[in-house]
Amino acid sequence: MSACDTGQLLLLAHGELDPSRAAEVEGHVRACPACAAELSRLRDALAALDRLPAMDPSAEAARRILADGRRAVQRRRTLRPSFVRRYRYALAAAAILAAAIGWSLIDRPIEPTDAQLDRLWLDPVSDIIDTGSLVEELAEGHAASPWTEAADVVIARLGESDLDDALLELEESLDLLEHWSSGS
Amino acid sequence: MPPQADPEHLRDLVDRCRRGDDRAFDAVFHMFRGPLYSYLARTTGDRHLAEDFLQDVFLRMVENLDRYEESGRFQAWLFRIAANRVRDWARRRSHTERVGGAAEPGNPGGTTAVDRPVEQPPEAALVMDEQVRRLEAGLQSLEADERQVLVLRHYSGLSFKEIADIMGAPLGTVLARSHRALIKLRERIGEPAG
Repeated sequence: MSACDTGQLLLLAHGELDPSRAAEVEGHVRACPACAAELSRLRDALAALDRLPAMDPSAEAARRILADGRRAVQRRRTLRPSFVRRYRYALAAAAILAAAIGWSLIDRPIEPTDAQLDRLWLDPVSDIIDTGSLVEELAEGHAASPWTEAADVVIARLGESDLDDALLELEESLDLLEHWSSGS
Repeated sequence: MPPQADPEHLRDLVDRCRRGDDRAFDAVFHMFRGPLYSYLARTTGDRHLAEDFLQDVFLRMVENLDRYEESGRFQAWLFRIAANRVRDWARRRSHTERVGGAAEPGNPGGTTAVDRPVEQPPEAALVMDEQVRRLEAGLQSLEADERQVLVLRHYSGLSFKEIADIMGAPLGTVLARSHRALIKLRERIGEPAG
């Protein structure tokens, strides 16, 4: 660096110069009082910026952002595109089987609320299955027929365009069943 | 500049986010929300807008995780998303103001909302010492483009060249804005706060 160059001083102050270039600029600064003073002013200002307190979003906004972000991340778990599309039928069958096993492990009266029933994954197929009857049959251990029927319908639906939403519903249903079976 | 996250830990968190681990997302959120929000709030001058942008940034992060190539520069990648968001907003505002043609009252330069002082919560204002108050005032008194470069460089870990790419400006222009901003800031923090 043979002439004064504030851009180079700025890069030096930020540590963005490679070692040989930095050595060259530092050499110039040692020989140039004006650049030495300028570099000092720049470093003072940068040090002042470090004293700025961090700011945080409001607690309410943080909760909202976290909740939305978690949902988006959870969708990735369900919706890894190539894997899901390749194995969609196996995934659907596995999800249904897992749900059925979950039900069978519940050894106490099942009394889901209406709201819980609304969230149950059977909603998409409720047009042909009586959900209330299914819950009773499941509780009594006679689940084979409705589950088979549900599997057929869900798998058929997975062949349609709304694959992602269908799989997400399945996963949410499994979470719900797990929640119930844990006695919460 | 905020402390850098441990690269190995961060790589693991990003990988887990890709696989759909929402606890890893929580960790990433808590790691970067402060620096990102500080950048967004100090650049836009609007805390509520900054919260909306913060939400956008984290959602875009999740949506684009497959495009992130592991380079040990996740923070820079995240801030690039944030800076692009701010750039788009600033362009829209600029266009709107040109079409509307009116400068804000008391603001004859016709500058944008990024020039408004960042609102501080009362409790923070009470404890903020004189030096920091001067600093905040000095920062908000800068031209919008000067402040944007300064704040982005400070919080993001992006190089000036990367910032120039994001802003679509020559490197020399970005360096000149940053230099002007730092010198003005240095002068203003030496003056009584207005």
